[in-house]
Amino acid sequence: MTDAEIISLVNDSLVEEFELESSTMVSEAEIFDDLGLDSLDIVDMVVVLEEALGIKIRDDEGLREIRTLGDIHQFILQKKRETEAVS
Amino acid sequence: MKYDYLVIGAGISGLSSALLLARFGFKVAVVEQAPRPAPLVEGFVRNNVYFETGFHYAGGLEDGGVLDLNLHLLGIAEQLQKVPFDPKAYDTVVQPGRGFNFSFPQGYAALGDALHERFPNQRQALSKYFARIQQITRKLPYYCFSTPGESDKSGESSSSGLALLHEHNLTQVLDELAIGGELRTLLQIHCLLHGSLPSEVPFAIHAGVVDGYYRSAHTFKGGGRALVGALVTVLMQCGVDLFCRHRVEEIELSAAGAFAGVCCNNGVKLQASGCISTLHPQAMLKLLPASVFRSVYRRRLAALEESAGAEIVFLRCERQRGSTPGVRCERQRGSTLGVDSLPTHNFQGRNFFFLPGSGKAIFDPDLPLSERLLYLNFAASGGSDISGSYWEGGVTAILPAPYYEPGTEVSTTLSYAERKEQTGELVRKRIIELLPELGPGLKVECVATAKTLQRINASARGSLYGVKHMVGQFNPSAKTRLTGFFLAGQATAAPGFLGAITSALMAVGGIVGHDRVEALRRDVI
Repeated sequence: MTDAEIISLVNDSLVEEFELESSTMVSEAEIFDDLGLDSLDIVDMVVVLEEALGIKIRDDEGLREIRTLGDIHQFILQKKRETEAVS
Repeated sequence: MKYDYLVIGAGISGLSSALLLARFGFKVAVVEQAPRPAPLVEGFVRNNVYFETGFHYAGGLEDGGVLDLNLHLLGIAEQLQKVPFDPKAYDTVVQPGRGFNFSFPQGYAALGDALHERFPNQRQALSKYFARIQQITRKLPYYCFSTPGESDKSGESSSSGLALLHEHNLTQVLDELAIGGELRTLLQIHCLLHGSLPSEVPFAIHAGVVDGYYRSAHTFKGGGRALVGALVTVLMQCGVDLFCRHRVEEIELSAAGAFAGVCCNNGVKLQASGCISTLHPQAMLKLLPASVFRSVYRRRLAALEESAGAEIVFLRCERQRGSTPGVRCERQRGSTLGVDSLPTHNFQGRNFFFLPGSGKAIFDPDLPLSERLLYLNFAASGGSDISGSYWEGGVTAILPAPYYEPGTEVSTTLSYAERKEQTGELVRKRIIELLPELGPGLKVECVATAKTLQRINASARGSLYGVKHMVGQFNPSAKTRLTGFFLAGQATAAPGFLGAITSALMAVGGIVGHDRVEALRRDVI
């Protein structure tokens, strides 16, 4: 998968599971203020992304630093690279 | 009548939640479907014999231990009399075919010495293993009681806890330390106390269970029944209302979509501005309109796996007329057995884990009854009801068993009752073979199957501890999307008595603020 494909898969999964508007899915969008998610959604977001991308997310530090949708993309791309490097 | 908070379920987590809420000044009611509170822990008495069902022994009850402090926090410590298990052998693990036998002494130091002596080559690995247990339990929410001035944000952690709970399972830690063979078996055996396999259980959860038992093992005078009695007594003193035989059928919401109250099967409606549900998460989902939670959350809860299933055989020891007991045991309580003594008395304060034969998986529920892991617990004699009549202690035998799958009963020529009887007899004979001292006076009182557990535990498939704690499975946290609605119970925080209390602390912390719960905990020290 290319980075663009991964980003689009992340966006599609989040739009579907959290009933978001596709038009709001821009990298600068703040996940709490603009997308309307809250801290309760974080674990569900992890579950959604794990399912969609077939990766394991066990990274509290990385998750804590997420502020925007762009941060999620970078976080996931990084995880994907780590997973591929291992396999 | 309008309450501040309703608590659904009068198990340990529900009663603890109600006590803590009352402590913070709220008007609280507990709603329970069973005729009496905490039916799982209360045990039962038949023919003057008391049988433990859910409370067999507890770790961390030594003075100043984690569970001891929690009893003080709940205000029930004064009501309970702690009875220590055998200091030299509270748990004995036996593999009959190979003559393997090890008894756990109480306390890390004594246990360390005993294991070092038996496994001199794994001395270093064992020290590291104990250190890792103590290290990781310090990070568990509401585990350690911090002294004033120490900064401790146990319940408040902004972290999702993913790294703590989902980094390593028990098997990985044992592999890393290259702990193998019989030592590995001994360190895995207490998985029976949380019902998850070594390859599944988050190391942090396993550590949070065994740390207490490695420090000390106790029961209470009067067992689980005394524990429930103490909780209910203090609850009444705090002015909490307890509604038994009230099964919640629907949760009502306010116009603004917040929690508003519950409707029960008997038509009773109770209103409150908030609620702690200790129901099985899947049972909780059924009480609310689907629109309350996101579908991904509902899917997550619906897919939660259950802890181990079990079959439990309850046995009593009858006096043999005209026979001399002739009991020879490693450990004699007092002098020789008098007329009033029973062979079971010599085993009180000790548990046995009889392992399957070598090469067999320890917790395999599909092994024949003659080979399956067999756990034996001897309830203490001497409990009594308010009338003061004396009870003998019964024997509880627990074996892992396949889950109960409603509607998929295998049709056999034997009826359910006949199968239960057969199970009881097989287990009785096996126990007499393993511990001949118990003698022919050992009789089966009754048998609980996974189907029984499903009913009494209100668990989906008849498991010992409800929802399992497993690496990669995300159990629900105390907070939910529904305003005023919180979750507690073994599924949320951790399994067992301590896990249930911890879950109550986390839910009440979510309501009043974790700093206020921490302040209450500091006052206990």
